Amino acid sequence: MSAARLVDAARASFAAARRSAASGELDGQLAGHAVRFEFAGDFFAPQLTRALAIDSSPARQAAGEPALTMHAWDAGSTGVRLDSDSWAGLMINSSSVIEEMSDERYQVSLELHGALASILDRVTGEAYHYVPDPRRLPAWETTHPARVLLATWARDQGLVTCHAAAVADDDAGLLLCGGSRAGKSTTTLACLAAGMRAAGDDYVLVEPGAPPIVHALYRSTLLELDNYQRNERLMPVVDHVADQADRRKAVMFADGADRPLIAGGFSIRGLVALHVVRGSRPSYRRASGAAALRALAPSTLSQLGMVDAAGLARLADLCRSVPAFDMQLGDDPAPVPDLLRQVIAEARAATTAVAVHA
Amino acid sequence: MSTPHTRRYRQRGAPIIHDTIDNETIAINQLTGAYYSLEGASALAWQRLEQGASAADIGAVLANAYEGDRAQIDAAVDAFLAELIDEQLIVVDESPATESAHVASLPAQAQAPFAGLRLQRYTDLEVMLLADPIHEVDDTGWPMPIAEQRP
Repeated sequence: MSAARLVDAARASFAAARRSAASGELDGQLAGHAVRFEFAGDFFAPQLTRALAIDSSPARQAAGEPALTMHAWDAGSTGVRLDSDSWAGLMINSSSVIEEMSDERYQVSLELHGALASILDRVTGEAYHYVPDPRRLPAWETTHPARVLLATWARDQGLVTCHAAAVADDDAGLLLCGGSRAGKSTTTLACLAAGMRAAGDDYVLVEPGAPPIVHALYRSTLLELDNYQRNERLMPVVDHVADQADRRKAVMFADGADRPLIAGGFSIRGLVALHVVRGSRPSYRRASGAAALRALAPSTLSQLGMVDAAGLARLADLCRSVPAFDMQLGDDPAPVPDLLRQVIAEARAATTAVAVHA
Repeated sequence: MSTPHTRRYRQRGAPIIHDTIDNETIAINQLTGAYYSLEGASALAWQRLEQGASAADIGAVLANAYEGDRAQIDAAVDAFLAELIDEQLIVVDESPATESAHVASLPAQAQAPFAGLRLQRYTDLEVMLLADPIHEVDDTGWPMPIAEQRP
């Protein structure tokens, strides 16, 4: 089956799902781009509305023709499956993309052994997001949904999706890089508790420029359960505990009263590669852009389905554009926000010095 | 007939992607998920392999850029190329040689001591990047989860 035929099939299946079950819509902006979500069934509406950093304030809803229209449904609550030919024998590449069905216009991805399928028409912004059985989805798909589809869409809008956290003091911020267990979430929540801003603790959208601007992608924040138990004050509300393979995480969606705000729109003045060294005190030093790229690129590219030369080049350009730092985190996150404020000041001074020198 | 020292090699291209910042190259194998760091002289040697170069070409470039015993540099280059071949980062280059003349024209540079060549390999993402065919499907043709697949 060609991608175009699959889109036709998905369109018909989604229409049938809307007729057979509850439906809803969400309009707003994501990273300044108008987006629209249409739901069928009772699984995706609360999940995507809660997890995605969609600005759906009245002013943002009337933002013109959407750059992305995602249609999301599950067969479990609608009774309607995606009507497609057999997928047997198709090769899923390392980015979860089925290359035989994808081309410059269409991206078809199948993740988690068929637990989730996504189709994106990159010309029209029409997208289909389908789950046969929500019970088969891993916890991260609830907290950070549709990563591969949204990263491809964001790339087409000129945005760079990064596996990184972003925090700021006023309008000047830092991208905090590092793979799993590097300390991104704890540091982000510590910064929020210290009165700083944050655009996300795991994935953010970066608009390249001088300086780059970071936008929020998700509202979810997660702390490993033992870490949460040591630092309960950092997460004022726990919405649920998620099981992720061998790890359990406390989850908070940062939206509403009594919760910190996750929102972007601030500039990135530096990149910080995070490392946890137990038994040590937090400290930082200047680092090379390559060190930042090493901390940012491998996990970003693999987790977002962009393991290609263009994806690496975009991240490398970002690492060239601002100063880089290496930060060692210890056991106590309390001193970290003030250290990051120092890093921001140092990064701004370094950028100013370069500009004056130029 | 070319001897190993004059045999030319070049970067493999896809599935290897790479970029260089601050004299350090990051290379990623899209198929295996292994990624690599090459710093300083190693990054310079890697850059020479972009258009194709022999061990002799690379040795000449490094001898021009770094202070060190030429035999020691050549031995390091031979070992480095063998490692790059083992990691499938480079292949034999059968295209006509053009590098030697270019190397000969390089201007002499301020020389730092030659500290050897090193390929740093990271494997923590290998499991995440491996490609996979769809083996088993249900009666409608939809992929079956691993736990439900027939033995």
